[in-house]
Amino acid sequence: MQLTKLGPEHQRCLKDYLDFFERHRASLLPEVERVSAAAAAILDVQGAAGGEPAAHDTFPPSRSQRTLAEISTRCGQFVDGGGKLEVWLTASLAVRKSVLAVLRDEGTIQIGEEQSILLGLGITLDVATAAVAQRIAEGESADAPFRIAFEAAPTGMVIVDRQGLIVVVNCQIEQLFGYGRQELIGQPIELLVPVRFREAHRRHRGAFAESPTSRMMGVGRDLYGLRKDGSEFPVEIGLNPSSSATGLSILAVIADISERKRTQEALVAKMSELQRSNEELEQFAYVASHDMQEPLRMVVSYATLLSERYQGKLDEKADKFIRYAVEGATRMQHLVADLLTYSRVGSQGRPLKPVNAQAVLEKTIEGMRKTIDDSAAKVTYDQLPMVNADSVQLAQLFQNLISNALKFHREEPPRIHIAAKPAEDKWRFSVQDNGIGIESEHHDRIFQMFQRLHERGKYDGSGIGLTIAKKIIERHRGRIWFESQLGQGTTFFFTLPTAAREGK
Amino acid sequence: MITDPFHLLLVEDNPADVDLAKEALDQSRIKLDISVANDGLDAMDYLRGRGRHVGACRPDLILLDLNLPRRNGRELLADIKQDPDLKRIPVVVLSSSEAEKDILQSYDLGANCYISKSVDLRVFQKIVHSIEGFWFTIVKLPPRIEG
Repeated sequence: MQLTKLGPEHQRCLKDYLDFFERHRASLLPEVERVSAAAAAILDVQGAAGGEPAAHDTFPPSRSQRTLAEISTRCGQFVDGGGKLEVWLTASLAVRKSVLAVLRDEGTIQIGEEQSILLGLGITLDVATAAVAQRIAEGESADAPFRIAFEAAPTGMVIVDRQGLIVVVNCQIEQLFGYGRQELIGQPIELLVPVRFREAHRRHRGAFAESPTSRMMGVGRDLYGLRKDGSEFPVEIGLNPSSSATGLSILAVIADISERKRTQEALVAKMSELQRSNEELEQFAYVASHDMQEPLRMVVSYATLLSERYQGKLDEKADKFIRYAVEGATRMQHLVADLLTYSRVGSQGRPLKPVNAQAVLEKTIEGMRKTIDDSAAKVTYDQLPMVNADSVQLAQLFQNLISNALKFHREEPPRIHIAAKPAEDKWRFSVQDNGIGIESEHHDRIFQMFQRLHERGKYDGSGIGLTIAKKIIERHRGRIWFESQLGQGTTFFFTLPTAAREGK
Repeated sequence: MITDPFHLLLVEDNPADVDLAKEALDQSRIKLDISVANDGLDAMDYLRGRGRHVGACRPDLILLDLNLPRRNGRELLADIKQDPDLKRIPVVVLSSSEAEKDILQSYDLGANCYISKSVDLRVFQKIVHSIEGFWFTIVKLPPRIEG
């Protein structure tokens, strides 16, 4: 172990260096401690060797007791450790035209000559660097755990000074961009930005420095990072300014969102595919049911005409055949008409607007007056709110539910009551009847298309009324369900969005 | 009493529909002379007495289907209502469409009324009877142009 005697200048530098690390020891990497210990030891030795009495009072007294052997051990430890900090500082200082340390034989400290400033094991003392490092320490936290978190964070983190030069990066940045940190420190941040965005990035950076606030970068724009190998990848960047005595620095948190983007794109593609196939299906149902009506009308009309003109004029069998034809065609006509109504809910709906539900209900009841009176039913309702709805479909919904309640009545006259209650940001409507009720085993089937729970003839209808009701509600982003007690009655519930406030 | 039969022009491409309308009209007590045109161009030929319709009688009423080949019902309706010679002839649109768009457009083009064909034969028959009852017994039609 050889040590060249330090001049006063060297000693001052070394002391500055030590001061700095003493102050920030806790927040810097563990390696720093070893380095600083080594440097302190050097200074101690120098002091002991007759140099100027270095500011011993700023160091723990124990330091001054260190022996040469101890220094040797510590230096060796540091060399073995080959810590990242060494590489980083060495590189960054090289950029700053500082002097490199010369590390010769293991465990030997060689002091640089002439303008060389002392380097302890590859650490240059450079006031500028110290200031930068100080900013790092101040900008983040004075805590070692934070420092570790910075390094171990799963997202890339880079700190940039006011000039846009990279001050520090973490492991993830190295992995994301394919650069070693020594290649990044001191470089403009634009190194990591695709060439076509660099100019704009510089401008935005300038603007950000003018009014620095924590925010996401380029919200609404697609951002890309540029790897060392020239490839690009989509990123999301959070910006966090921090200003200290040494000026503004910006911590940028960079996440690689390639995977998320891929998933998102796949999802969007699937969604649009689904939507298209859904629309196609709806269109198909609409066109099919619409175009089937015409020929069907012919079949029904002529079958009816046949039965009108030739009933009893052929033989008994012919009468029966004609009757079957008329019945079958008529039933099909109803099915097709229902299917058409159903497919119209999706394809022919009007935009949702604020609608007075009570006015719609009153109109619906008025339209159903004859049916209601024929079944001696009593339909009552509470005051109903404004909702955001397609009024035609809302009327259809009321009509379907009321018809349902009228149809499935018991001996006594049907009584139907409609009410609404606020439920979070929606209204929950109820249509209550005193009818035959629905057996719980049918709960799942009741909203399915063409499902009838009773034999033909007892209750007519194609079994699509509730399916249409459900589709209407789904178009309004609501929910429909029911509660029922056999022989007591059924209550259908559905939710509708409250009417948007004016001006919205 | 007018002994001359009323002239009715049925513009309809589907022969089954033509027969259905004729069946309904045949049961009428009103004396009717029914002519048929199969599409918009054929109807225009009829109204102008051209082509296969040379010497055709000017109709007192037109029953018009909207969906026709070649020149469709809307175009024909527009042609009739923009023609100073023909525009007085009442046109009853008889369509299977219940679309608001079709209804509004027909009236905009000058239709005298719009009627949806019922899918039910009996209702359809009733409608046809109402049409002739209204237009040939209640309505004062424009006086016939002689010659």
